[in-house]
Amino acid sequence: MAWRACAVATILLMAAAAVHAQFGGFRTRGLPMATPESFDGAFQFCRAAFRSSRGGDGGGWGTDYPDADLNLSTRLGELTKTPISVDKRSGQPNHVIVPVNDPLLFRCPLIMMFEVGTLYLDDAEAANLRAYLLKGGFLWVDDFWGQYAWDVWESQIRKVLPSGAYPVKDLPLDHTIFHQVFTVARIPQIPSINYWLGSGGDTSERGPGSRPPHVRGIADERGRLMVLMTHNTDFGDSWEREGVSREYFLTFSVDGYAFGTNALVYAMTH
Amino acid sequence: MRVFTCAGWMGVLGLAAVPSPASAQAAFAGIVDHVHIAAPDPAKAVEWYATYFGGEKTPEGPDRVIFGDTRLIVQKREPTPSAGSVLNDIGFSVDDLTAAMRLFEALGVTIVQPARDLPGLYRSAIVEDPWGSRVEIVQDSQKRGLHHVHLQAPDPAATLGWFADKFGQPIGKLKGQLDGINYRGVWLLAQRGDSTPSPGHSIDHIGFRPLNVDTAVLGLKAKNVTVVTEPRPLTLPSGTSMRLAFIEGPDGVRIELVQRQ
Repeated sequence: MAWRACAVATILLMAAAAVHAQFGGFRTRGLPMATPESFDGAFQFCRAAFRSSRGGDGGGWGTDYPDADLNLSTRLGELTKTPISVDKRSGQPNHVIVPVNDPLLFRCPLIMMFEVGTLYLDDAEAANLRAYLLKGGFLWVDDFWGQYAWDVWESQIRKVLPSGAYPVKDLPLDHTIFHQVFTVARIPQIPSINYWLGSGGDTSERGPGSRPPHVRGIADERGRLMVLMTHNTDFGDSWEREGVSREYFLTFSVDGYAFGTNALVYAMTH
Repeated sequence: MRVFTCAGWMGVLGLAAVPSPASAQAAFAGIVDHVHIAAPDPAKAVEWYATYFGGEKTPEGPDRVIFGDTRLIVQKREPTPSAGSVLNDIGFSVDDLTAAMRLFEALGVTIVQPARDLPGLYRSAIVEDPWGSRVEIVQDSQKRGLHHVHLQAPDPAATLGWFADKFGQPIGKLKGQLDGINYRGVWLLAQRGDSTPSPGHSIDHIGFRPLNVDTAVLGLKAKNVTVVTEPRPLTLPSGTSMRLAFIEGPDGVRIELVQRQ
């Protein structure tokens, strides 16, 4: 619906003005490792921490941390009626870090991994992730660019979900995830703000080798998406850096939040 | 008027002419400008330190992250581990050491020394970053982020005395216990032990910030300090420009002097 997209932009613009004044968004410190007491029933962004392979492509699990986690949680609370877990002292959204092999993974309705072009999973980690996904969990991986990073990612996710039973499929634009809350009519290619500014406005971080962005998925036997893959695009930066540049915000963050909201609501309702 | 009178008396007594940490202090900003570490992929190292210790990325360059006044800069090369070098380790303070160590353990980070209480100081643990820099992690409620740089030298008192003499700031005691120099919240500490020169190790050198690098180098030469690289200009790809020089400190520690515009 067009009015919905307009509403996203309007609400975000109003909020962005305040954020821009702070220049840096909802910044915080520390490593909020998940504990059994972390979860209070309201939404908390769960970032999965993973080991990086030495030869991988990318920065690792902590990319865009913590502002992506904080800002997306804040916007989810503003754009939907989802109750957000909030730290009473700071007023900021609670968010947690969960290592891939941690049993607390199962307390997260969805987990997100960034820059999985460096991902390495051992057998125990792969088994934990497989159990989580098959039990109803949802994994979104983002911000990995080009064929090499894809190959690294695929080599690891295949330890979790074998290719025969769980094929990777491009998600068509009529898939529910593009319409869950807001209508997303195209797949945005979102570069990191540094690349965008440094390249004079280019969006493909690996040049011709990462030109078209992809939204792909792995579903379970009933068609429920378990794994969402946003390849050749960086939704995380559109959230993390929303307060840094008004132009970047208008060009990328509005699309980033529209799809991000859809993905989160999909994950929590399917 | 009282201050003027006091200064006048100092001039009469010739105190202002006595070489002291106070005069060196005037020539330097009194901060650790940067710590230069090495890794084959600087972007990954920057991400690692920003993630775990909360540094701020900067438009100055993708090879650095800032903790307060101090940059942690990563040069691209395959390093030798820092342990045993005169620049033995760098220290960071975190909110929750237990949580940090749980994460490091889960991610297979090399743990050199598990968390322990250092009575009268703080809780402390030692890990190694993926590229060989030894990192002491402390939980010091009075400071977050970059906490200290740890020198290792056969005569720690002499080494600290050298830094106090050349860059100002008096030798003090961290929490009343550890000898060190407080550079606006980042302590330069020294522990006793044999060490090798820092160049080539993963903590390659440390930087101080003279107000005028040319004048500072002249002053250091007068104190018989070896100047490795004479002052020269440098402009980063981001457009940030500076003048810099390199000197050799005690026990083979490489020191960069950076005059920022």
